[in-house]
Amino acid sequence: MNRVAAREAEDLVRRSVAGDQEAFSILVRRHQPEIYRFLRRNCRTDEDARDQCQLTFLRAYRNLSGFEGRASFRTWLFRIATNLARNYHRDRARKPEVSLTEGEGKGDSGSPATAAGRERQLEAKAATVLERLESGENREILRRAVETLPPRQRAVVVWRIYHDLTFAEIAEVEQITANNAKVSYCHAVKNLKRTLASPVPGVTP
Amino acid sequence: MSARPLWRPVVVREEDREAIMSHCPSEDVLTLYASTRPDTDPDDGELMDGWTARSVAEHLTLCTACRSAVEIDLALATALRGDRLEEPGDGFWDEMADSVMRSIDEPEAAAEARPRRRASADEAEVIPLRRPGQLGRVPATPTERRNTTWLWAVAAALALAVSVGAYVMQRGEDGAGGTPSHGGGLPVPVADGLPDAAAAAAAAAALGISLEPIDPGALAEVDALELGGAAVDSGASSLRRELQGANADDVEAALGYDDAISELFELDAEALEDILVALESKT
Repeated sequence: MNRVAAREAEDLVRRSVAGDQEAFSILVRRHQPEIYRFLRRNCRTDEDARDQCQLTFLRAYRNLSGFEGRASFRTWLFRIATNLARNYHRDRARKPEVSLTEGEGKGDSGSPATAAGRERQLEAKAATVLERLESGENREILRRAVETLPPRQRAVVVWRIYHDLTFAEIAEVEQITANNAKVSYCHAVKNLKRTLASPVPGVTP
Repeated sequence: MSARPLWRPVVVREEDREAIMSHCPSEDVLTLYASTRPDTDPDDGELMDGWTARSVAEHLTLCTACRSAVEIDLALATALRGDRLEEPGDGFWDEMADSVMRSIDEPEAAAEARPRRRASADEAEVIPLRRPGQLGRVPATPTERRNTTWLWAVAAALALAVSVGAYVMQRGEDGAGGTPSHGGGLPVPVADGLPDAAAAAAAAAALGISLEPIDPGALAEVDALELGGAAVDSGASSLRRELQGANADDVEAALGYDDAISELFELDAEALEDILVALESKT
Protein backbone atom coordinates (compact mmCIF):
# COMPACT_ATOMS: atom_id res chain seq x y z
CA MET A 1 0.00 0.00 0.00
CA ASN A 2 1.48 3.31 -0.99
CA ARG A 3 1.59 6.33 1.24
CA VAL A 4 -1.46 8.04 -0.30
CA ALA A 5 -3.59 4.93 0.02
CA ALA A 6 -2.45 4.46 3.61
CA ARG A 7 -3.37 8.04 4.45
CA GLU A 8 -6.76 7.62 2.81
CA ALA A 9 -7.39 4.45 4.82
CA GLU A 10 -6.46 6.22 8.03
CA ASP A 11 -8.86 9.02 7.15
CA LEU A 12 -11.68 6.56 6.49
CA VAL A 13 -11.07 4.83 9.81
CA ARG A 14 -10.98 8.15 11.65
CA ARG A 15 -14.28 9.21 10.07
CA SER A 16 -15.82 5.82 10.88
CA VAL A 17 -14.78 6.11 14.50
CA ALA A 18 -16.44 9.53 14.54
CA GLY A 19 -19.69 7.87 13.42
CA ASP A 20 -19.56 8.43 9.64
CA GLN A 21 -21.41 5.39 8.26
CA GLU A 22 -20.57 6.30 4.69
CA ALA A 23 -16.86 6.03 5.48
CA PHE A 24 -17.41 2.69 7.17
CA SER A 25 -19.36 1.49 4.14
CA ILE A 26 -16.33 2.22 1.96
CA LEU A 27 -14.12 0.24 4.35
CA VAL A 28 -16.56 -2.68 4.22
CA ARG A 29 -16.50 -2.75 0.43
CA ARG A 30 -12.73 -2.51 0.42
CA HIS A 31 -12.00 -5.33 2.87
CA GLN A 32 -14.93 -7.72 2.50
CA PRO A 33 -13.41 -9.86 -0.30
CA GLU A 34 -10.34 -10.72 1.78
CA ILE A 35 -12.37 -11.37 4.93
CA TYR A 36 -14.91 -13.46 3.05
CA ARG A 37 -12.24 -15.58 1.33
CA PHE A 38 -10.50 -16.25 4.62
CA LEU A 39 -13.79 -17.25 6.25
CA ARG A 40 -14.83 -19.28 3.21
CA ARG A 41 -11.77 -21.45 3.73
CA ASN A 42 -12.54 -21.72 7.43
CA CYS A 43 -16.27 -22.38 7.28
CA ARG A 44 -18.16 -25.37 6.05
CA THR A 45 -20.59 -23.61 3.72
CA ASP A 46 -20.87 -20.41 1.71
CA GLU A 47 -23.79 -19.36 3.86
CA ASP A 48 -21.79 -19.77 7.07
CA ALA A 49 -18.91 -17.79 5.59
CA ARG A 50 -21.29 -15.03 4.59
CA ASP A 51 -22.85 -14.89 8.06
CA GLN A 52 -19.45 -14.79 9.74
CA CYS A 53 -18.28 -12.09 7.32
CA GLN A 54 -21.26 -9.88 8.17
CA LEU A 55 -20.68 -10.53 11.83
CA THR A 56 -17.03 -9.51 11.46
CA PHE A 57 -17.95 -6.07 10.14
CA LEU A 58 -20.80 -5.69 12.61
CA ARG A 59 -18.47 -6.46 15.48
CA ALA A 60 -15.85 -4.13 14.03
CA TYR A 61 -18.38 -1.30 13.82
CA ARG A 62 -19.55 -1.82 17.39
CA ASN A 63 -15.97 -1.84 18.67
CA LEU A 64 -14.61 0.99 16.57
CA SER A 65 -14.12 3.08 19.70
CA GLY A 66 -11.72 0.40 20.95
CA PHE A 67 -9.58 0.51 17.81
CA GLU A 68 -6.37 2.16 18.96
CA GLY A 69 -4.54 2.17 15.67
CA ARG A 70 -1.56 0.20 16.96
CA ALA A 71 -2.16 -2.39 14.22
CA SER A 72 -3.51 -1.55 10.78
CA PHE A 73 -7.28 -1.60 10.31
CA ARG A 74 -6.85 -4.56 7.95
CA THR A 75 -4.95 -6.56 10.59
CA TRP A 76 -7.56 -5.59 13.18
CA LEU A 77 -10.33 -6.92 10.92
CA PHE A 78 -8.35 -10.11 10.32
CA ARG A 79 -8.06 -10.57 14.06
CA ILE A 80 -11.83 -10.27 14.51
CA ALA A 81 -12.42 -12.70 11.65
CA THR A 82 -9.97 -15.25 13.02
CA ASN A 83 -11.62 -15.07 16.46
CA LEU A 84 -15.04 -15.62 14.89
CA ALA A 85 -13.68 -18.54 12.88
CA ARG A 86 -12.35 -20.06 16.09
CA ASN A 87 -15.75 -19.66 17.77
CA TYR A 88 -17.39 -21.19 14.71
CA HIS A 89 -15.20 -24.27 14.95
CA ARG A 90 -15.75 -24.52 18.70
CA ASP A 91 -19.51 -24.52 18.15
CA ARG A 92 -19.27 -27.05 15.36
CA ALA A 93 -17.02 -29.30 17.43
CA ARG A 94 -20.05 -30.20 19.53
CA LYS A 95 -21.47 -32.01 16.54
CA PRO A 96 -19.92 -35.32 15.52
CA GLU A 97 -17.89 -35.25 12.33
CA VAL A 98 -16.20 -38.00 10.36
CA SER A 99 -12.45 -37.58 10.47
CA LEU A 100 -10.55 -37.82 7.23
CA THR A 101 -7.72 -39.62 9.00
CA GLU A 102 -9.92 -41.86 11.10
CA GLY A 103 -8.32 -45.17 11.99
CA GLU A 104 -4.84 -44.38 10.82
CA GLY A 105 -1.65 -42.77 11.97
CA LYS A 106 -1.87 -43.94 15.57
CA GLY A 107 1.17 -46.12 15.15
CA ASP A 108 3.22 -43.39 13.50
CA SER A 109 6.20 -42.95 15.76
CA GLY A 110 7.47 -39.80 14.03
CA SER A 111 10.68 -39.26 12.11
CA PRO A 112 13.36 -41.91 12.27
CA ALA A 113 16.48 -41.20 14.21
CA THR A 114 18.94 -41.51 11.37
CA ALA A 115 19.24 -39.46 8.21
CA ALA A 116 19.19 -42.64 6.11
CA GLY A 117 15.95 -43.77 7.69
CA ARG A 118 14.37 -40.41 7.15
CA GLU A 119 15.52 -40.43 3.55
CA ARG A 120 13.83 -43.77 2.93
CA GLN A 121 10.66 -42.61 4.64
CA LEU A 122 10.59 -39.37 2.67
CA GLU A 123 11.11 -41.16 -0.62
CA ALA A 124 8.31 -43.60 0.19
CA LYS A 125 5.96 -40.82 1.13
CA ALA A 126 7.04 -38.62 -1.74
CA ALA A 127 5.70 -41.05 -4.31
CA THR A 128 2.23 -41.14 -2.75
CA VAL A 129 2.02 -37.44 -1.97
CA LEU A 130 3.34 -36.26 -5.30
CA GLU A 131 1.15 -38.73 -7.14
CA ARG A 132 -1.92 -37.44 -5.39
CA LEU A 133 -1.00 -33.81 -5.79
CA GLU A 134 -0.52 -34.28 -9.52
CA SER A 135 -3.71 -36.26 -10.02
CA GLY A 136 -6.86 -34.61 -11.25
CA GLU A 137 -8.67 -35.11 -7.94
CA ASN A 138 -6.11 -33.40 -5.76
CA ARG A 139 -8.32 -30.37 -5.23
CA GLU A 140 -10.99 -32.27 -3.33
CA ILE A 141 -8.41 -34.25 -1.38
CA LEU A 142 -6.53 -31.11 -0.45
CA ARG A 143 -9.64 -29.29 0.67
CA ARG A 144 -10.69 -32.13 2.86
CA ALA A 145 -7.16 -32.43 4.24
CA VAL A 146 -7.11 -28.72 5.10
CA GLU A 147 -10.53 -29.05 6.73
CA THR A 148 -9.20 -31.68 9.11
CA LEU A 149 -6.45 -29.39 10.41
CA PRO A 150 -6.83 -27.95 13.89
CA PRO A 151 -8.25 -24.39 13.71
CA ARG A 152 -4.99 -22.59 14.55
CA GLN A 153 -2.97 -24.57 11.99
CA ARG A 154 -5.65 -24.12 9.36
CA ALA A 155 -5.76 -20.37 9.94
CA VAL A 156 -1.98 -20.06 9.71
CA VAL A 157 -1.90 -22.03 6.44
CA VAL A 158 -4.69 -19.93 4.95
CA TRP A 159 -3.05 -16.66 5.98
CA ARG A 160 0.32 -17.80 4.69
CA ILE A 161 -0.66 -19.53 1.46
CA TYR A 162 -3.74 -17.64 0.29
CA HIS A 163 -3.21 -14.19 1.75
CA ASP A 164 0.59 -14.01 1.56
CA LEU A 165 0.92 -12.73 5.11
CA THR A 166 4.38 -12.81 6.63
CA PHE A 167 4.85 -14.79 9.82
CA ALA A 168 5.13 -11.51 11.71
CA GLU A 169 1.72 -10.45 10.37
CA ILE A 170 0.21 -13.87 11.12
CA ALA A 171 1.54 -13.58 14.66
CA GLU A 172 -0.18 -10.21 15.03
CA VAL A 173 -3.50 -11.51 13.69
CA GLU A 174 -3.46 -14.73 15.68
CA GLN A 175 -2.05 -12.99 18.75
CA ILE A 176 0.86 -15.39 19.07
CA THR A 177 4.59 -15.02 18.59
CA ALA A 178 6.19 -15.27 15.16
CA ASN A 179 7.98 -18.44 16.24
CA ASN A 180 4.69 -19.98 17.29
CA ALA A 181 3.25 -19.08 13.89
CA LYS A 182 6.18 -20.84 12.20
CA VAL A 183 5.78 -23.90 14.39
CA SER A 184 2.03 -24.02 13.66
CA TYR A 185 2.76 -23.77 9.95
CA CYS A 186 5.30 -26.62 10.12
CA HIS A 187 2.87 -28.80 12.04
CA ALA A 188 0.14 -28.04 9.51
CA VAL A 189 2.36 -29.01 6.58
CA LYS A 190 3.39 -32.18 8.38
CA ASN A 191 -0.26 -33.08 9.03
CA LEU A 192 -1.23 -32.36 5.42
CA LYS A 193 1.54 -34.60 4.12
CA ARG A 194 0.56 -37.34 6.54
CA THR A 195 -3.03 -37.12 5.39
CA LEU A 196 -2.12 -37.16 1.73
CA ALA A 197 0.19 -40.13 2.21
CA SER A 198 -2.53 -42.20 3.86
CA PRO A 199 -5.60 -43.84 2.34
CA VAL A 200 -8.56 -41.49 2.49
CA PRO A 201 -11.92 -43.08 3.24
CA GLY A 202 -14.48 -42.14 0.65
CA VAL A 203 -11.99 -40.51 -1.72
CA THR A 204 -10.32 -42.38 -4.53
CA PRO A 205 -7.02 -40.78 -5.50
CA MET B 1 6.00 -29.32 -10.51
CA SER B 2 6.92 -25.78 -9.59
CA ALA B 3 9.24 -23.90 -11.87
CA ARG B 4 10.85 -22.32 -8.90
CA PRO B 5 14.50 -23.39 -8.38
CA LEU B 6 15.13 -25.42 -5.27
CA TRP B 7 18.21 -23.49 -4.35
CA ARG B 8 19.59 -20.08 -4.87
CA PRO B 9 23.07 -19.23 -6.09
CA VAL B 10 24.98 -18.76 -2.92
CA VAL B 11 28.58 -18.31 -1.96
CA VAL B 12 29.68 -20.50 0.94
CA ARG B 13 32.98 -20.16 2.67
CA GLU B 14 35.26 -23.17 2.50
CA GLU B 15 35.44 -23.53 6.29
CA ASP B 16 31.62 -23.84 6.42
CA ARG B 17 31.26 -26.32 3.59
CA GLU B 18 32.10 -29.41 5.67
CA ALA B 19 29.48 -28.60 8.29
CA ILE B 20 26.85 -27.91 5.64
CA MET B 21 27.47 -31.20 3.90
CA SER B 22 27.47 -33.35 7.02
CA HIS B 23 24.39 -32.03 8.80
CA CYS B 24 20.88 -32.20 7.39
CA PRO B 25 18.66 -29.33 8.50
CA SER B 26 15.61 -30.25 10.52
CA GLU B 27 12.37 -30.98 8.71
CA ASP B 28 10.87 -27.77 10.05
CA VAL B 29 13.69 -25.68 8.63
CA LEU B 30 13.17 -27.30 5.23
CA THR B 31 9.42 -26.64 5.43
CA LEU B 32 10.00 -22.99 6.27
CA TYR B 33 12.54 -22.74 3.50
CA ALA B 34 10.02 -24.16 1.03
CA SER B 35 7.35 -21.73 2.19
CA THR B 36 9.51 -18.79 1.25
CA ARG B 37 7.94 -16.84 -1.52
CA PRO B 38 10.06 -16.69 -4.67
CA ASP B 39 10.56 -12.95 -4.36
CA THR B 40 11.62 -13.13 -0.73
CA ASP B 41 15.06 -11.96 0.11
CA PRO B 42 16.78 -14.70 2.18
CA ASP B 43 18.44 -12.01 4.19
CA ASP B 44 15.20 -10.35 5.31
CA GLY B 45 15.24 -12.50 8.44
CA GLU B 46 11.59 -13.53 8.22
CA LEU B 47 12.16 -17.26 8.09
CA MET B 48 15.70 -17.63 9.32
CA ASP B 49 18.87 -15.65 9.38
CA GLY B 50 20.72 -15.13 6.13
CA TRP B 51 23.51 -17.55 6.95
CA THR B 52 21.04 -20.40 7.62
CA ALA B 53 19.11 -19.66 4.45
CA ARG B 54 22.27 -19.77 2.38
CA SER B 55 23.40 -22.94 4.16
CA VAL B 56 20.12 -24.69 3.37
CA ALA B 57 20.34 -23.61 -0.25
CA GLU B 58 23.86 -24.98 -0.46
CA HIS B 59 22.91 -28.17 1.36
CA LEU B 60 20.09 -28.84 -1.10
CA THR B 61 22.61 -29.00 -3.93
CA LEU B 62 24.29 -31.89 -2.13
CA CYS B 63 21.57 -33.89 -0.29
CA THR B 64 18.89 -35.73 -2.27
CA ALA B 65 16.81 -36.59 0.81
CA CYS B 66 16.43 -32.98 1.84
CA ARG B 67 15.84 -31.95 -1.76
CA SER B 68 12.98 -34.43 -2.10
CA ALA B 69 11.52 -33.16 1.18
CA VAL B 70 11.61 -29.60 -0.11
CA GLU B 71 10.13 -30.78 -3.43
CA ILE B 72 7.14 -32.23 -1.59
CA ASP B 73 6.65 -29.07 0.43
CA LEU B 74 6.87 -26.96 -2.72
CA ALA B 75 4.42 -29.20 -4.55
CA LEU B 76 2.05 -28.99 -1.61
CA ALA B 77 2.24 -25.20 -1.43
CA THR B 78 1.79 -24.96 -5.20
CA ALA B 79 -1.24 -27.27 -5.10
CA LEU B 80 -2.75 -25.29 -2.24
CA ARG B 81 -2.22 -22.00 -4.06
CA GLY B 82 -3.75 -23.51 -7.18
CA ASP B 83 -6.94 -24.35 -5.31
CA ARG B 84 -8.81 -21.16 -6.00
CA LEU B 85 -12.27 -20.44 -4.70
CA GLU B 86 -15.07 -19.82 -7.13
CA GLU B 87 -15.74 -16.13 -7.46
CA PRO B 88 -19.17 -15.14 -6.16
CA GLY B 89 -21.74 -14.02 -8.67
CA ASP B 90 -22.45 -10.48 -9.82
CA GLY B 91 -23.81 -8.24 -7.15
CA PHE B 92 -22.63 -10.49 -4.32
CA TRP B 93 -20.29 -7.91 -2.81
CA ASP B 94 -22.78 -5.07 -3.11
CA GLU B 95 -25.47 -7.18 -1.55
CA MET B 96 -23.24 -8.20 1.32
CA ALA B 97 -22.07 -4.65 1.98
CA ASP B 98 -25.67 -3.42 1.94
CA SER B 99 -26.62 -6.20 4.30
CA VAL B 100 -23.84 -5.22 6.69
CA MET B 101 -24.92 -1.58 6.65
CA ARG B 102 -28.54 -2.59 7.20
CA SER B 103 -27.46 -4.68 10.19
CA ILE B 104 -25.70 -1.66 11.61
CA ASP B 105 -28.89 0.37 11.30
CA GLU B 106 -30.96 -2.38 12.86
CA PRO B 107 -28.96 -3.77 15.77
CA GLU B 108 -31.84 -5.86 17.05
CA ALA B 109 -32.29 -7.59 13.71
CA ALA B 110 -28.57 -8.19 13.52
CA ALA B 111 -28.59 -9.81 16.93
CA GLU B 112 -31.32 -12.14 15.78
CA ALA B 113 -29.40 -12.98 12.64
CA ARG B 114 -26.43 -14.03 14.74
CA PRO B 115 -25.86 -17.77 14.33
CA ARG B 116 -26.84 -19.67 17.41
CA ARG B 117 -26.56 -23.26 18.43
CA ARG B 118 -29.80 -24.94 17.56
CA ALA B 119 -31.46 -26.97 20.27
CA SER B 120 -32.22 -30.56 19.49
CA ALA B 121 -35.74 -31.92 19.68
CA ASP B 122 -35.03 -33.41 23.10
CA GLU B 123 -33.78 -30.11 24.43
CA ALA B 124 -36.85 -28.31 23.15
CA GLU B 125 -39.25 -30.55 25.06
CA VAL B 126 -40.60 -28.89 28.22
CA ILE B 127 -41.48 -31.12 31.14
CA PRO B 128 -43.62 -29.26 33.74
CA LEU B 129 -42.63 -29.94 37.33
CA ARG B 130 -46.18 -29.32 38.53
CA ARG B 131 -49.56 -30.05 37.06
CA PRO B 132 -50.72 -27.43 34.62
CA GLY B 133 -53.53 -26.42 36.97
CA GLN B 134 -51.01 -25.77 39.75
CA LEU B 135 -48.67 -23.68 37.68
CA GLY B 136 -48.76 -19.99 38.43
CA ARG B 137 -48.49 -17.39 35.74
CA VAL B 138 -45.00 -17.47 34.26
CA PRO B 139 -43.52 -14.01 33.58
CA ALA B 140 -43.54 -13.54 29.85
CA THR B 141 -40.44 -11.42 29.40
CA PRO B 142 -37.04 -11.17 31.11
CA THR B 143 -37.90 -7.61 32.12
CA GLU B 144 -41.02 -8.78 33.89
CA ARG B 145 -39.02 -11.52 35.60
CA ARG B 146 -36.53 -8.94 36.82
CA ASN B 147 -39.37 -6.75 38.16
CA THR B 148 -40.81 -9.73 40.03
CA THR B 149 -37.45 -10.26 41.67
CA TRP B 150 -37.38 -6.63 42.77
CA LEU B 151 -40.83 -6.99 44.35
CA TRP B 152 -39.61 -9.93 46.39
CA ALA B 153 -36.59 -7.92 47.52
CA VAL B 154 -38.78 -4.98 48.62
CA ALA B 155 -41.12 -7.33 50.50
CA ALA B 156 -38.17 -8.91 52.30
CA ALA B 157 -36.81 -5.48 53.25
CA LEU B 158 -40.21 -4.45 54.66
CA ALA B 159 -40.46 -7.65 56.69
CA LEU B 160 -37.01 -6.97 58.12
CA ALA B 161 -37.97 -3.39 59.00
CA VAL B 162 -41.13 -4.55 60.80
CA SER B 163 -39.11 -7.12 62.78
CA VAL B 164 -36.60 -4.49 63.86
CA GLY B 165 -39.43 -2.12 64.80
CA ALA B 166 -41.13 -4.77 66.91
CA TYR B 167 -37.86 -5.52 68.66
CA VAL B 168 -37.38 -1.84 69.48
CA MET B 169 -40.94 -1.61 70.82
CA GLN B 170 -40.41 -4.68 72.97
CA ARG B 171 -37.24 -3.21 74.42
CA GLY B 172 -39.19 -0.05 75.27
CA GLU B 173 -41.82 -2.06 77.16
CA ASP B 174 -39.20 -4.04 79.09
CA GLY B 175 -37.37 -0.91 80.24
CA ALA B 176 -38.01 0.76 83.61
CA GLY B 177 -39.71 4.18 83.84
CA GLY B 178 -37.95 7.25 82.54
CA THR B 179 -36.16 7.31 79.21
CA PRO B 180 -34.23 4.07 78.79
CA SER B 181 -31.83 3.62 75.90
CA HIS B 182 -32.83 0.89 73.44
CA GLY B 183 -30.65 -1.32 71.30
CA GLY B 184 -29.68 1.43 68.90
CA GLY B 185 -28.98 3.86 71.73
CA LEU B 186 -31.95 6.13 70.94
CA PRO B 187 -33.79 7.28 74.06
CA VAL B 188 -37.51 6.50 73.94
CA PRO B 189 -39.71 8.40 76.42
CA VAL B 190 -41.50 5.95 78.70
CA ALA B 191 -44.47 6.67 80.94
CA ASP B 192 -45.76 4.10 83.46
CA GLY B 193 -43.51 1.40 82.00
CA LEU B 194 -44.89 1.92 78.46
CA PRO B 195 -43.46 3.92 75.55
CA ASP B 196 -44.81 7.38 75.11
CA ALA B 197 -47.92 7.32 72.91
CA ALA B 198 -46.57 10.02 70.57
CA ALA B 199 -43.26 8.18 70.13
CA ALA B 200 -45.08 4.92 69.47
CA ALA B 201 -47.30 6.62 66.89
CA ALA B 202 -44.24 8.10 65.15
CA ALA B 203 -42.49 4.72 65.08
CA ALA B 204 -45.62 3.06 63.72
CA ALA B 205 -45.92 5.70 61.00
CA ALA B 206 -42.27 5.24 60.05
CA LEU B 207 -42.78 1.49 59.75
CA GLY B 208 -46.02 1.87 57.86
CA ILE B 209 -48.08 -0.10 60.38
CA SER B 210 -50.86 0.77 62.85
CA LEU B 211 -50.54 0.18 66.61
CA GLU B 212 -53.62 0.10 68.87
CA PRO B 213 -53.09 1.82 72.29
CA ILE B 214 -53.32 -0.51 75.33
CA ASP B 215 -56.74 -0.38 77.02
CA PRO B 216 -56.44 1.02 80.61
CA GLY B 217 -59.13 -1.46 81.73
CA ALA B 218 -56.91 -4.34 80.71
CA LEU B 219 -54.09 -2.91 82.82
CA ALA B 220 -56.46 -2.76 85.85
CA GLU B 221 -57.37 -6.42 85.34
CA VAL B 222 -53.72 -7.36 85.35
CA ASP B 223 -53.21 -5.44 88.61
CA ALA B 224 -56.21 -7.19 90.17
CA LEU B 225 -54.89 -10.56 89.23
CA GLU B 226 -51.52 -9.75 90.76
CA LEU B 227 -53.22 -8.59 93.99
CA GLY B 228 -55.32 -11.75 94.10
CA GLY B 229 -52.22 -13.84 93.82
CA ALA B 230 -50.67 -11.94 96.72
CA ALA B 231 -53.80 -12.58 98.85
CA VAL B 232 -53.61 -16.32 98.18
CA ASP B 233 -49.96 -16.31 99.18
CA SER B 234 -50.84 -14.44 102.33
CA GLY B 235 -53.64 -16.92 103.14
CA ALA B 236 -51.30 -19.85 102.71
CA SER B 237 -48.81 -18.28 105.09
CA SER B 238 -51.56 -17.76 107.68
CA LEU B 239 -52.66 -21.37 107.35
CA ARG B 240 -49.09 -22.53 107.79
CA ARG B 241 -48.79 -20.44 110.98
CA GLU B 242 -52.14 -21.69 112.31
CA LEU B 243 -51.16 -25.33 111.75
CA GLN B 244 -47.82 -24.84 113.46
CA GLY B 245 -49.55 -23.34 116.50
CA ALA B 246 -52.39 -25.93 116.72
CA ASN B 247 -52.38 -29.04 118.85
CA ALA B 248 -52.48 -32.60 117.59
CA ASP B 249 -56.25 -32.86 117.79
CA ASP B 250 -56.69 -29.74 115.77
CA VAL B 251 -54.36 -30.97 113.07
CA GLU B 252 -56.13 -34.24 112.89
CA ALA B 253 -59.42 -32.43 112.66
CA ALA B 254 -58.07 -30.21 109.95
CA LEU B 255 -56.85 -33.21 108.02
CA GLY B 256 -60.40 -34.51 108.14
CA TYR B 257 -61.30 -31.88 105.64
CA ASP B 258 -59.82 -33.79 102.75
CA ASP B 259 -61.61 -31.87 100.11
CA ALA B 260 -60.68 -28.55 101.59
CA ILE B 261 -57.02 -29.55 101.86
CA SER B 262 -56.94 -30.77 98.29
CA GLU B 263 -58.42 -27.51 97.13
CA LEU B 264 -55.84 -25.70 99.19
CA PHE B 265 -53.15 -27.18 96.99
CA GLU B 266 -54.95 -25.69 93.99
CA LEU B 267 -54.52 -22.32 95.70
CA ASP B 268 -58.26 -21.62 95.55
CA ALA B 269 -58.90 -18.55 97.74
CA GLU B 270 -62.47 -19.61 98.55
CA ALA B 271 -61.50 -23.09 99.78
CA LEU B 272 -58.68 -21.58 101.80
CA GLU B 273 -61.11 -19.27 103.52
CA ASP B 274 -63.32 -22.24 104.41
CA ILE B 275 -60.41 -24.04 105.97
CA LEU B 276 -59.51 -21.03 108.01
CA VAL B 277 -63.11 -20.73 109.25
CA ALA B 278 -63.19 -24.43 110.16
CA LEU B 279 -59.93 -24.14 112.07
CA GLU B 280 -61.15 -21.08 113.92
CA SER B 281 -64.33 -22.87 114.91
CA LYS B 282 -62.34 -25.88 116.17
CA THR B 283 -60.03 -23.80 118.24
